[in-house]
Amino acid sequence: MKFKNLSVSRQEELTGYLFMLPFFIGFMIFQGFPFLITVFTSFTNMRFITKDLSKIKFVGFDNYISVLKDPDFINAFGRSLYFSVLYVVLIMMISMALAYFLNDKIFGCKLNRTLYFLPYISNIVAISVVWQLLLDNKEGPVNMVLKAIGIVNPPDWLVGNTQIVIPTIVIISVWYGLGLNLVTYLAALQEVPKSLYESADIDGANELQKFMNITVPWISPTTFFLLITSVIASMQNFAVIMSLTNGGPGNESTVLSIYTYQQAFNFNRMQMGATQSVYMLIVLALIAIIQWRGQKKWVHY
Amino acid sequence: MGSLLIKKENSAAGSQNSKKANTTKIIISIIITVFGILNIFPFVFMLSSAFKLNVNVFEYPFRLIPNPLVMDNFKEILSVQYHFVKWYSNTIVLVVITITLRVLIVGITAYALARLKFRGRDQLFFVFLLTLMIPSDSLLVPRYMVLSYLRLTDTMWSIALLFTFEFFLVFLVRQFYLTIPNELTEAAIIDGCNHFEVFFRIILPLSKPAMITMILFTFVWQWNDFTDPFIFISSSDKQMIAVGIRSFATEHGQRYAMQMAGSTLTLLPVIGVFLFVQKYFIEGITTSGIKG
Repeated sequence: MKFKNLSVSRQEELTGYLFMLPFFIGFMIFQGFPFLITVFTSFTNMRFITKDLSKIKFVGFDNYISVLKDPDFINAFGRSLYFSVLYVVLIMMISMALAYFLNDKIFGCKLNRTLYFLPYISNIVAISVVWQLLLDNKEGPVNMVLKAIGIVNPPDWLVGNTQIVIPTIVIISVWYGLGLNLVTYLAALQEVPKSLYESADIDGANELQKFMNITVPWISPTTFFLLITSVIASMQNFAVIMSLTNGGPGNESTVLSIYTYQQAFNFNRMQMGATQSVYMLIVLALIAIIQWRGQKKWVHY
Repeated sequence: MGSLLIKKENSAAGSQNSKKANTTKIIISIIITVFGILNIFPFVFMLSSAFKLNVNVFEYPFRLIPNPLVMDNFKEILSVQYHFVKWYSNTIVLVVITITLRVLIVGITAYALARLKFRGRDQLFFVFLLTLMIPSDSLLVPRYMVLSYLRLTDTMWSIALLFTFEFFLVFLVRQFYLTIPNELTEAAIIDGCNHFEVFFRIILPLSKPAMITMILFTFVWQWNDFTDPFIFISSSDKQMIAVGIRSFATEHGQRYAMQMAGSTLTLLPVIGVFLFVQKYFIEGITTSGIKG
């Protein structure tokens, strides 16, 4: 075939397909195909990964029903929800407040931006090893300081119960992820026209009024964007939990991602792991729909 | 005239208030900076403890400059009995392979999505975008299944390929290509260039900043990735640094100073690179959105 003899738009179309091909194939294999296999597995009794399809029986919705009847799943789901809500609320509030002050309100903005951004590019596992020492319940520097200022029974942090272990992990995760939200907010704040604040000054508005009536609405698209990415980030908690507590103590910090991993790899219930993954994706889709519907009420473009 | 008067009044009131405003600014600056320094205390603690004797790690009050200051922790963790050097070099190889694959594939894909018209492009783009909404932690089991059917588990290719075919960086580079003026490429097409020539002669040389950002992100994310090697690689000698440091910490729970030396070595490359090329990271994040 003579490529040059084709019309320009036909050439363009063929080049388009050709350029897309490598990524498309890889994407289908590594991103698309897993979906299909998971959905398939969730309807079977496959406990191990096997190519021998003769032993595999279809069980209809049995797995879906037994997952819902599994108290460990319900507990893990509850912990995930607790984790996500706490994470999203904290990171959104702190990053917005911090960005507000870092934007023109203080000296040393660049230095501070680096100080708060640094955790984000560091290795969460290596830094978790450090946090484990900092929060050591007997000799750790944090509890030593707390004891020194008169707190007789400082918290057990990473070896305590759900009331304390999940918030501790959330705080470390927020510390870790804060820089990303902060930098995004800072960029958004730069876009707010200075003239709006100047005319508000003339009208005698105070700082809080300016913040609530100019800043917040103006950056609401960014808030919406960060809300979505923070919800996603709140579910990316496998690495931080595995390295801080391994899901423990007991299973006090066994959230969904950890429990799904355990089902598939520790308890050899691949079909349950797959079914739980499908449930997780359904929940994700619901959250996404709720967010898109809800944005119309408070996001100003 | 009236507006002039108002301005005068305002500036008079302003100069009275400006001293007070300045004091507030200084106080807020100090508070934020103190918290900023506290914010990086884990790094300070790590670096300091890495040079301490094991018994001195938990000394109270905390001593910034170790006394005595020892190098033994680094010497010991780099010795052959721990796989540290092996993990380190494995990770470097993995990062280099992934960056090469991405440079080859991401550019042309982004170009096709940004500049070429073909049937199904917009639908495809939408599907790719949707995958950015899925936290990869919810796909661990599915991905493991595919990789094991392909016999890729326990090889670094499993991770390199998973990373290469993630959409995020294609999206980032596409956004950049959209900012290159259309006239440039149209003129070349009219002059008889085909799209291969346009891409390699015009677009690629112009997109150095985007490529650098892509390479940096790949480096940082891949170096820091724990979950993928943890799930997909089982042999200790094929393992990556993030999993390595965790398994060292679990196996040698009481050797705090050595754990800190290991953590320091794990963090050194990314933090070093970051401090030098901060600009690219921050611009990459702010111009194109990000990933969690």
